Amino acid sequence: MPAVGIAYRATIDAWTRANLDKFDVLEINVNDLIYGTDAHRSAIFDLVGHIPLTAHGVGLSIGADVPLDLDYLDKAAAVVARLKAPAYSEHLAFTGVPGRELGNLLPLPRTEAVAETIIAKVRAVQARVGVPFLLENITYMFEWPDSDMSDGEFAKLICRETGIGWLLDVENLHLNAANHGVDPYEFVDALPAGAVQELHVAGGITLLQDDLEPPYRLERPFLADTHSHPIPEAALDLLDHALRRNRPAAIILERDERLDAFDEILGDVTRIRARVAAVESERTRGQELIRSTS
Amino acid sequence: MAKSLFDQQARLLEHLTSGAAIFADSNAPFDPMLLGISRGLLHLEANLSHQKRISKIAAILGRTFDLLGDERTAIVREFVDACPPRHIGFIENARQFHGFLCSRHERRPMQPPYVHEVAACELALAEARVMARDREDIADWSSGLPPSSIRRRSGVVLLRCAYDIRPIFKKDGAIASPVESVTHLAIRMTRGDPQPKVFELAPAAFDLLTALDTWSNVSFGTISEPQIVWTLAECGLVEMRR
Repeated sequence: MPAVGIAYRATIDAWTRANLDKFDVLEINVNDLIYGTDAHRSAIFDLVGHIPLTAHGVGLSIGADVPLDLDYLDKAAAVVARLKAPAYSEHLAFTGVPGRELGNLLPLPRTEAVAETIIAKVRAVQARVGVPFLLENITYMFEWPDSDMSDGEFAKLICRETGIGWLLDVENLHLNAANHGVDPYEFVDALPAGAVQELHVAGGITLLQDDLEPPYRLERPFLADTHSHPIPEAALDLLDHALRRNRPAAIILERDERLDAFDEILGDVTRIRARVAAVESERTRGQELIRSTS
Repeated sequence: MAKSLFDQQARLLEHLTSGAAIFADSNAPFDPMLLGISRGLLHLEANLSHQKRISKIAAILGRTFDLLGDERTAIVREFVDACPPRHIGFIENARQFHGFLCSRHERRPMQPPYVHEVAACELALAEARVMARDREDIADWSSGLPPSSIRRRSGVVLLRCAYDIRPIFKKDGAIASPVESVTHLAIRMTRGDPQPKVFELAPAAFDLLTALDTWSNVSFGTISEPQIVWTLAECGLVEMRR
């Protein structure tokens, strides 16, 4: 059974500690440890030994067409070791180029040439970090016109060439399906069975057509990845599908806004556990059927 | 000519961090390398990223933003054009905004005239929090023996202001106007302190602390008031070794 937990956020540190028994795992943002204050770092390292921790990065910008930031990577690797995290994940994206940093995850043109640059970098990270490296699929607002592969084909190629595991963000898949017509099930099925080692779930908001500054206008309502609201049912259905094909080690609920809606957070954790239990039950029934007919 | 991935990414970043993309100026020229990408969605990406950046700056420079009042929108717009984001961090972005306020104030004095000094102080408080080190001072100033060398303690931030801006940071709720008066401040935070500590220094102490960037031999004969060193050590502003 996968461990179920939340992404640790300093602003709800006290609440998280008081409710530690409700979670099997916490996800730590390695940037908090690399750039955070001393008090912030101490608070996180104090959790080691009290609850299993996973390590998630947002600063490697592996998709930027520049050499890997080895300084960042070495700091991340040191943090991962100190957390005793079983894996280290980053996004399949870029956030900046030298001299300009957006601070948001941006998509890559999905071409074979771009995949090759990512494959080389993944291999370099795998050789430098002492735990399995995972890539996470992002949600995006726009697409590059020169992309000639689907999200699934692009991810599959990288997985096949590097053997990398995947951190599957089902909310991001759900958003890309709604905003860009991506087939989220095709993406899950494209990944090698068992590749998904961790999962992210979250809930966001819907932007309406008039939410843009004139003269721009959205063609249709647009789902935004705000990590602010309960998980939509469609994302939980995708979670079911991913769980049927994979046996991930952890499922993490991401929440960054409305962090004081504690009932919603605990409610989402309960909903995730119910979905996990249902899939496990299906799996057990299936195994019984096979046993009884063999 | 084939587009390199780097060129595509650099031009995209240039667009997304531009005032035209953030504030939906559809009359601005559009980079031909980005043709085929929805301009409206690029505006959405640019605007959301910008809001995230500004919220990071406001988290550190909250009082500064309050003081800017009605001018804030125009100043932020100028800031966007002058200072594209270079780092993901809160402090780095706040530092950029403070630098921008200082240079703008030199060109065109702002109201209130101490707003950039309040920004400097807020930035210094945030830096002191980040720079607080695990280890405590190695100083053993109580033994009374003269130290052989001293340096400014790591994490101490120095600030020279034309106004005494400390009333702005009082927590009693009353909003006091700073008085024009050259003030020398040192800000430090040590492990375990809930908040940074702010000290007002005499000019001689301030100058001494400014000079102590690295370990320096101290000859008490050359210091007009040797007690300054002991007091600085007592306040945790310098560390000593024998």
